[in-house]
Amino acid sequence: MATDDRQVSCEEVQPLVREATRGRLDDATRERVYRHLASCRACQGLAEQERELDRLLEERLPRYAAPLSLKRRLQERLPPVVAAPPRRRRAAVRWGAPIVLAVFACAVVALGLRRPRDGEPLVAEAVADHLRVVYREHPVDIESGGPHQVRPWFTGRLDFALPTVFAGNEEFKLEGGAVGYYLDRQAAMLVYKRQLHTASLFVFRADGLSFPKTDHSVGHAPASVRRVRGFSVVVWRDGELGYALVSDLNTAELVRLGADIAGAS
Amino acid sequence: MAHADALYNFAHYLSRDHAEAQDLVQETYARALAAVAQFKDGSDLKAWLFRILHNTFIDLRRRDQRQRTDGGLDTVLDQRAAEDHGAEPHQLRQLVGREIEQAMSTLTEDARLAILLDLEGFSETEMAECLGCAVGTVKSRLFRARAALRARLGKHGD
Repeated sequence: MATDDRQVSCEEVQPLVREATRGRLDDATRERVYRHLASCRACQGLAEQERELDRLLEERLPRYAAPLSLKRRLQERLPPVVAAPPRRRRAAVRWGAPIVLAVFACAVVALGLRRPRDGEPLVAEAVADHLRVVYREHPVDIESGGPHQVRPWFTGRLDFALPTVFAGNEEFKLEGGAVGYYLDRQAAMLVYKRQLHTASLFVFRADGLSFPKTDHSVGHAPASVRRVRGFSVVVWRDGELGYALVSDLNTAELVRLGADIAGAS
Repeated sequence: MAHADALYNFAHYLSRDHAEAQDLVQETYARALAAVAQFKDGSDLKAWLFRILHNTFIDLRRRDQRQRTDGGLDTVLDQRAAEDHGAEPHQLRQLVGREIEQAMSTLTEDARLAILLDLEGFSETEMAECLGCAVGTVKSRLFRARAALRARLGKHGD
């Protein structure tokens, strides 16, 4: 081809030298690069440097393995957000580490072999997010000095307007808040404490989400109350926003807190 | 454990902090589990996890409002590197791991990312998805990053 015969400059060849040696170029381009290299000492030098740099990086750049403590934490703390079907669990366990199991379970669900019930992903996500809050050393980015301090902090950090925040009371103290993610969207995360119990509230845009079937109410809003792996979860929708409240408190206590939160907004 | 070591290594070079790297990996697995529905059939799990880790890193950086390494220095050194090709092979052969790591740490975040992802064996398409940019951008960024690294390694080899 005529284009193969044209002369190429060093500036054109140099970005392609390594790609040529790695087989990432089409035949015609690779041939042009090699033809140039055969007659250009400068580019030959660059090619040698590139090879040496590859060798250095592969052989001498220190690689850091995940500490055993981290692997244990991943095993112990990451919740099985989606469980593999029982008949598949035995096969998955043979793979070894529970993380593989968890990721394998992800793939199983992604492949559509198991579909969670409508709305239940919201519940599972709430528990997973709550666990991250509990395990995090500093779960809140803004310490509470009262709702008048917490709520303005979210301004400009969320893609929605956060309604009035429940300030807490004698029973439940507002610890603070942070911006996080809930499923595929931003969320305001608020942490309440009752003695040693932590309750996490996630507020997020409700559009496009399938909420679980309601069976309770918090304040004026119909709500769904679930018990998942020892955690109580209350999920409700109020207008354009969704709310998920999670804690190891019993469901009656959490519904009471939910009613206070719903009443404030 | 699936990709935990590779993710931790990547997180370590990104954050340059053991504790932050552990947080990043932990959060990555948590997000991966939560976002399972977004995992596409037939896509590469490792590439997907790396993309999540990178996004997590960006999120945490934004949250912490930390300053990224300024890119201006790289621009200057890239230009010089393009002119003199950086370290000679005999200089490179004398370098030890710590010097390479030190040189890596002086690169911009974008440059480090490109080199690390390439080192993990990702294709340019996978790198582009992870970095959220075009394949052409990945090519030029990787070329400039390696030139900058060679320039810095040349200083060590002097």
